[in-house]
Amino acid sequence: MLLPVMVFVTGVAVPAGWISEEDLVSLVRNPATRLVLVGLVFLFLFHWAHRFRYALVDLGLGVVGKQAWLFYGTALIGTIVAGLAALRL
Amino acid sequence: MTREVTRPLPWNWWLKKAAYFQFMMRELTSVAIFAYTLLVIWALWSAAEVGAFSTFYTFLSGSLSVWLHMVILGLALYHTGTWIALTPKVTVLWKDDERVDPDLIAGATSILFLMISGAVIWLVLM
Repeated sequence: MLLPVMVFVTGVAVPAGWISEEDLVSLVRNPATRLVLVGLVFLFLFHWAHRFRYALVDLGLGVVGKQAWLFYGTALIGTIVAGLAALRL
Repeated sequence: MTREVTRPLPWNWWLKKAAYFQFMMRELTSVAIFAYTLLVIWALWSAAEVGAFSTFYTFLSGSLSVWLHMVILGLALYHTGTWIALTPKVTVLWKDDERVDPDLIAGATSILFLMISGAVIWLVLM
C-alpha cells in the first residue's frame, strides 16, 4: 500500500530535484516520520521473511526455507538496527 | 515411531500453470521489498550526520539508483496490483441477500491506495 509511493519519492522525486537534500533530511529527522519508517521497516522485513521463506520451501529448497531463525532473525535484526538508527538522530 | 509423509513435488511445478507462475513471481517480489527496506534503514542511519546523508542523497540521484528504483517500482506495483485484485476474494461482503459486487471492493481498495499515495506525495513535496 505504501511501498510504491515511497519508491516514487526516493526514485523519481529525488533524482528529478523536486525535493532538496535539506528538505529530505529534515523529513527523515522528523520524529513522526522516524516512527512511521521504523514501523514500515518492521512490517516490510517480516513480510519479506515470511513470503521468501515459504517461496523457497515451495521451490524445493526446504532445507534453507525451514531454517526459520534465518529469516525472522534477519527481520528482527533489521528492525532493531532501524530502531537504533532512529533513536540516534 | 512416527514418520512424516512428504508428497514429492517437482521443483518446476510453478512453471506448469500461468496462475502458479504469477503466484511465484508475486512471492519473489518480496525480495524487492527487502532490498528497498535496506535503503530505508540507510536513510535513517545516515540522517544523523550531514556528510553521511549527502552520500545517501547523491546515491539516490545517480543512475544506478534510478534503474534499481524503476525495477523495484515495477515489482512493487505488481505486488500491490495483485493484492488489490485479491481483496474481493478474501473479503466477501453481503448486503441483505445480495453479494456486494467484487469490482466495487477492488475499486474501493484502489481508490484508498491512490488516496494514500496522493497524501504521502502531498506531505513530502509540500
